[in-house]
Amino acid sequence: MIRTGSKRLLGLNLRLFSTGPKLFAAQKLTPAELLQQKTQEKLQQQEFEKSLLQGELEYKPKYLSENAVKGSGTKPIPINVELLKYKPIRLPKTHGHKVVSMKFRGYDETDINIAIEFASRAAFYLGIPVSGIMKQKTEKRLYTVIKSPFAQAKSKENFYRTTFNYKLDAFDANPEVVDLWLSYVNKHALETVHYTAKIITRESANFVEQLDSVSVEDVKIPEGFKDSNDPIMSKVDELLKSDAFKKHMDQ
Amino acid sequence: MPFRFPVKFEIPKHCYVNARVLKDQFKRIQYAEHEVTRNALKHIARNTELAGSVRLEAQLQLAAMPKYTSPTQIRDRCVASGNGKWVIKDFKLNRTAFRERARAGIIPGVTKASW
Repeated sequence: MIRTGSKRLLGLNLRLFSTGPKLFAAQKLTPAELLQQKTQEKLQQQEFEKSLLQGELEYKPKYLSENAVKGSGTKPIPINVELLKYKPIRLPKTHGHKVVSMKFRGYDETDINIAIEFASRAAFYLGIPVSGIMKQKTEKRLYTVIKSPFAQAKSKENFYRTTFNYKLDAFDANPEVVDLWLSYVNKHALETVHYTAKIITRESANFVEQLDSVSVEDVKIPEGFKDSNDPIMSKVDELLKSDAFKKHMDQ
Repeated sequence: MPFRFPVKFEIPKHCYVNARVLKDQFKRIQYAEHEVTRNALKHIARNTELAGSVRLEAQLQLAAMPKYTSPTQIRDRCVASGNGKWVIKDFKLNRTAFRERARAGIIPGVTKASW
């Protein structure tokens, strides 16, 4: 028999015998109360985000960490530095149209995280809604080498090189803002991370009609091998005009 | 002692240097210099719209070019030891040079594998 007073025991027993959700361990709330709580949280979040966007922030450095870090000198750690401990704030999507998908690639995971957080923070302050930091498949390339510098080829040693891949998607932004964002990220790019950005552009709804109206004269097909900038083709011309080839060409 | 190569060239500064590395460096420089000419001659030789005699002339000229201008003469060499065998292309290192560095943890991302 389980007494009503011993909640702990009940929770423990349930945990022992079931792998399902811990229903009894959670705080008991009526649906109405839960809804109220959620709406209040949402309102608070909205107010907080609104306050971030309104004007310049007042500089009131506060220690977020309980124990003041003994850094160099007597200066306190600036609040923006301390805020780096937290996840970047994200803006909600308005339409959910993907505009850019950025890829981050590198051997050092912490460096990639720095790069990707920098990009998402920059996106927040430029008003671009971005997705969360998405981890992609990690590549491991295996290298098997002979252990000894000479002979004994049977004993080998294995190494692998791990390449981490991360992704960040941006939504609903104008091409100008996207350009600004990408150039800013590029300006402060880390050397150890490889950045690639796929920019998605959209055509107007009457694009097919526009295509139909295009005539043959409007389209200019690049003339193969007739480009004067091609060094090989200019060399070919030069060779064919030379004495050695001239006698064959005249025949 | 006469100069060994037909043309003077700069000694590479980015890697370990020995006689074989110098030989390879010379071939690389020569290939880069003659790349356009070689490709132009190849273009003439393989152009079916041109007369047979022109194409033959181009092929003969191509064959008459020194062997050190050919890309097939270039071989990858270890940057750290100059060795030409067992060079891992991703790192431009020979197996022993690679193993030493990988064990020391100098090469980014490379660790000893275990599974």
